[in-house]
Amino acid sequence: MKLLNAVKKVLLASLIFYILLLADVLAYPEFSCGTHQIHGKLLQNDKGLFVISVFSEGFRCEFILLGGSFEEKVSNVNTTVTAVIYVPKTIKDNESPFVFFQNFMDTPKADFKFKKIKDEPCKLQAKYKADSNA
Amino acid sequence: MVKIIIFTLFLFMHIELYAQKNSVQDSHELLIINGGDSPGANYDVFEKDILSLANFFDERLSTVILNAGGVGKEITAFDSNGQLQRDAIGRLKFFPSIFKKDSLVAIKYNVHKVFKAAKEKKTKYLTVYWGDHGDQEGIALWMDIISYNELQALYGSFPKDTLIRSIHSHCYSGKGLVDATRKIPSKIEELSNFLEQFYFRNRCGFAASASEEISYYGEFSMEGFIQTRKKISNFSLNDIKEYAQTNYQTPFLTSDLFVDDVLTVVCNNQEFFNVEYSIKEINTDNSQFECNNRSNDFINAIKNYCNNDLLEAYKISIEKEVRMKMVSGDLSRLIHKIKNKFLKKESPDLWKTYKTALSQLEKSYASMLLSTEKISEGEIKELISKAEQALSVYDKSLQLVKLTREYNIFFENSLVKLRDQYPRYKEWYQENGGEFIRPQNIENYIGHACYEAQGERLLMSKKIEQAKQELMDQLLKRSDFKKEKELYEAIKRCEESPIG
Repeated sequence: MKLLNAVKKVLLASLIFYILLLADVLAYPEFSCGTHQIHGKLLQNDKGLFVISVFSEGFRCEFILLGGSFEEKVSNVNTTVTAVIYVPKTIKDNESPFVFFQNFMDTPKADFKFKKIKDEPCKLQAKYKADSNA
Repeated sequence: MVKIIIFTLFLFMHIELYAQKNSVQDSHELLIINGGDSPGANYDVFEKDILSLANFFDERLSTVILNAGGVGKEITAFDSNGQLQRDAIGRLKFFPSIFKKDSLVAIKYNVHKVFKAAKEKKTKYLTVYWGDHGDQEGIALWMDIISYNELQALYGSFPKDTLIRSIHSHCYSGKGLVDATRKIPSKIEELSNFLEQFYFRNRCGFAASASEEISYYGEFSMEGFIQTRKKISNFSLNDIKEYAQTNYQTPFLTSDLFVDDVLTVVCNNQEFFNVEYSIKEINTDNSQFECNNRSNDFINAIKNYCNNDLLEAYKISIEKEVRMKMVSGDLSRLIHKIKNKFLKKESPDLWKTYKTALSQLEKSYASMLLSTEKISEGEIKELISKAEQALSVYDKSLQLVKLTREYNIFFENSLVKLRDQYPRYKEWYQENGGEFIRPQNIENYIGHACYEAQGERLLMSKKIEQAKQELMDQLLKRSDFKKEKELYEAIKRCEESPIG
């Protein structure tokens, strides 16, 4: 009887393991290395970092902008923007979504939330544009 | 002897009351489900929603809770600016769960298990709350998803005398109320079967957003709704809909979907009703006078709702509102830019400190990403502290800017120089024959115009609702619509019935 119970437990544990393994989680969009356009609201978090929030397919995707024109970023806080960004490391979730800010575009009626412009190698140093006046 | 009889009666009454209370509790099952999706997507606000719902009913209902990864799982939280909280090196911060009640892991296996248990208990009233995330295919569970089809199958497995009420607050929640794959029939003759197939007398639901819409937490939250019910011990789905005043999403009930489906078929079959009306007109006599009058009202209601004039006017009002929002967006960017330019000019040190602090912090994160420089967590924390301080000083100074006379003069000059860079604002003020030069006046004027545009859109929306209701009322009066009327009224009763 004890053996039967042990077998039952093992089978149940395996079943749960496979359920979790095969489960279909809501698909967070993946952003591979390269240049992208994103359309969303520019805000500042409590550390002052500039963050663009985009809602997509049930998810809120955050992008933390690094570099680029400080003045441009400050001027556009709290408004909806279309930004050109470079993704230096593939983003699969909100865990660490750092991107290099290139510039803003004037597309008030953008019919997209994300658009990939170009596949590029990861970690391209030249894509980080330190503000020359900083 | 009398005392013994009274005591025995008293005892029986207590036993009876206790039994009644328990039977009521047993027959009303509340399932609260927060799928959570995954560790990074399991927000504190979802837990606040389920906690407030569970506390509201406390022990009054037999409640089963499925909460993300189960007891002890962590959550993520938003900062005061509405952004996800992060640690020093920019990674998501995780916090202990605020939900301390007993709960199961929100996996599909457990969802099926609790539904099965409710069925075995012969539950008479089943209420299900579906929180957190959803997409076009289904509702998020913990590292899992339950499709809308599976959901309908689960509900369908209950006997017809179990009243099933569902509350959906996730994205695309409209898909959770009625089979989202249903095809609205083209012929009026097929309407009755269609309704019998997809709508049920014992099922109703509330959805916080339409089938194609995202749900925003700021627009609707269960916690917010529960706060309004503190002095009342129950609520209906109707109450939730009345509470849900939203700007960016469309809350609705099953009966709203029912009406939309019915009227789509009616509008696509206007010919059918016109022919019927013509025949009645030819055969008119005194006894049919009342009947024809009714037909007249009916045809007018069809013409009013189905002729698209209202929908066209509604579309125009939406376009106007969108345009005003874009003008307002342009203006706020313009004002923000002018303020920053003013601050840069008037307080160059403050501006420089702010810019340097943030740029250095950003540069450090970039260096870490590119692996070009090794930076300790202590150094990062120091940079964060500097950036936070600079931001705080900057924000305060920015708030004070508009109170000075110098700023008003600066604003006027800058406005002329910069406005060409903001085409939507430029176009709008040219159309309106000039502009104000004082910043406060411009903001007030645009704000008022936005408010007006929103008002027009809401008014049109109300007119459409009214026309829709008039047509529905006319349909319900028809003798050939008896079956549909019964079904519709049963769904309405379900939505009005108190939960708890």
